[in-house]
Amino acid sequence: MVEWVSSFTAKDLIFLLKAMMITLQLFGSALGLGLIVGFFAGIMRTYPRSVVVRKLASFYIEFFRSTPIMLQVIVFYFGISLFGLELSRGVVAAAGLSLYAGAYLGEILRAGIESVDRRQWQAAASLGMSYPQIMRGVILPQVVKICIPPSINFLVSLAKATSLVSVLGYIELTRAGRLIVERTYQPFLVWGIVMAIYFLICYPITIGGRRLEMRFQRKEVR
Amino acid sequence: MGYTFYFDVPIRSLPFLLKGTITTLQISAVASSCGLLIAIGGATARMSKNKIVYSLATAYVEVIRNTPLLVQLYFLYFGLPSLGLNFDANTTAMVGLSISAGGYLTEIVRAGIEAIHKTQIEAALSLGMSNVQVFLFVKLPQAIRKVLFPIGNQFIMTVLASAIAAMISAEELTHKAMILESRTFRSLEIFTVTIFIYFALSQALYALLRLIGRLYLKRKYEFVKTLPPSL
Repeated sequence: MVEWVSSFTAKDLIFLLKAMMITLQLFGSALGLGLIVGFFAGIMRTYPRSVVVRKLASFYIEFFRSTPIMLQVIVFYFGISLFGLELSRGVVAAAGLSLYAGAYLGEILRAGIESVDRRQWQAAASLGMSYPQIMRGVILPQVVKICIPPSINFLVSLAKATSLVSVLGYIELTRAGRLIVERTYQPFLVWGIVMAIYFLICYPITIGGRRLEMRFQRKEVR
Repeated sequence: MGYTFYFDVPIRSLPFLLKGTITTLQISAVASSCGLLIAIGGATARMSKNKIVYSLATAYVEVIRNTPLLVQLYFLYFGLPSLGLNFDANTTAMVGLSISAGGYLTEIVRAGIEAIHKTQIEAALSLGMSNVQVFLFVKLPQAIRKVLFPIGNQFIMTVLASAIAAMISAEELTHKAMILESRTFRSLEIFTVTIFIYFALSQALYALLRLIGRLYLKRKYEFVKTLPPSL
């Protein structure tokens, strides 16, 4: 007789750790792409010369903030297949997540840009600086610092959102957990390990974000 | 692009999807109310001087906030039956979302309570009120006023997060959309309509919050848009 149910072995643990690497890759690439998307979204959201550009960016951010991420990934997956591109699921998953990340990071950048005093814009403009010059030379250097703590808080959310990509059948940590549970019937053990791995990824980011926030606040007090 | 859209499939099944929307709202409402109760307990425990109570509550909050909701739901859905607890998917979704919302709301409620000035509590204590009375009649009402907007915001996040419960086959909006998809294979049209239902729903809820803010609190709905979603 064939033994279908086998117990959880070291092999399964290695499988989970490999899946963790895929989750980390997914996280990294979604973050990298998301930073680019978020940069443009934030710049467009505050672009002073065109209402249309601002409204477009505003709708993009608002839409991604008010819909479930799982559905965003699903719609993106089916939408991209319309164009007949033969992309692997991993690429589609990372690109889908990066749109979600871009919306949040763009909003963080907008908040940062708007927190800079208006008079700095006026002073720079009166010196004859153009919009790109003001942005690059005056505004962004200050904004980057302001944006770091909220962006790091968002990273935790992005790391957790990678689990939703399992809905596409892409094998990352959560999907790998399901596969092993279906074979070993040890849900508590396997989901406990999977949760522990996610916790080990997310908790250091949370702690780092909290420390940075405190350090920034202390500087403000001074 | 040689693709013909058939939006009549999801449009004809709109009543079916709306039934799912109502379940989504029911699950979210139950989860948010239970989550708030958990959070009041959790916030009290987080401010407790008893080290064990404090550590337990802190561990709860950190685990909830640093692990994905999907994995938490899987843990409950596949794990509870082996403890002899057989809940249906909808109940499991409510339990899971309550526990999750409780973790996020704990920090919100705690921040609200901690914002109350110490002198008020000293004044109440000097009037002979017990600790429980101070909590119920001094701290809690003020905290609720202070955190009403963040709680409303958290409710919308719970509505959006409840889509994940489709993965354990709770019969809410996303799950209904998945059923429809498996029957008709019009994936893109169905999920596009579904995502716009969520969009409309959360926009309506934001409008409702703004209205409550104007009528009840007499102040504008201020809301931190950079707050990451709870999932």
